Amino acid sequence: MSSRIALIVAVALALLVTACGGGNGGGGVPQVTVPPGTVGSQHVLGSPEAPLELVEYADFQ
Amino acid sequence: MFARSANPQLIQEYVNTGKVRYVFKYFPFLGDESYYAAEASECAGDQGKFWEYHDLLFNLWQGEGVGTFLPDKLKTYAGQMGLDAQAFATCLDTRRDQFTVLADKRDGAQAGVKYTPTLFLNGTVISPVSDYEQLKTKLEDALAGR
Repeated sequence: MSSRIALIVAVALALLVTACGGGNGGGGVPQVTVPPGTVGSQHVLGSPEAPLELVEYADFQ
Repeated sequence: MFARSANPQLIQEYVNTGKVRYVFKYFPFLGDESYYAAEASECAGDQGKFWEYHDLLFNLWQGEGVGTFLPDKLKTYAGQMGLDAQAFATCLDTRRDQFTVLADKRDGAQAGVKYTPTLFLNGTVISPVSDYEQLKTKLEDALAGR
């Protein structure tokens, strides 16, 4: 009997994990590893001769 | 949020006058919509409209995870801007620029970024910066060698 309950609990947990996107934060955008050597974005305003460089890291949200 | 509130003045007073070179980098960390928005901006950039789309998204901001930056909405904004809708949709749906965005985040994390906005002035963190006047003071100090 107890093994049957354990099986039911295991199946329920597996279904829960699947519903949550396999643990990637609730589905949606899958998180992946960046291939080595990948270059980031190149969005720059202003002259390369400017004495100051201001870099902003931002999230649109 | 720094970028939305201060950028116009920053661009006018410091970038356009040759005093500051401004670099924008992605650091999506607030949820899926952060990634969608960043990748969509790159897709707009593929059509030469990065800054226009960037400005639009900051102006549309309503909060975190409220649906403003879901893919269908992002495609609608692109269409309203006159971008090639089909090309934009293909770019976004195939996640063509996901590694570019993630490379920014990787670089930011390696540089010590933990929140946004994080600002570096000549390689040194100067954030948090609460408003444009505070940023302006820091820029003036740097220009004066202080």
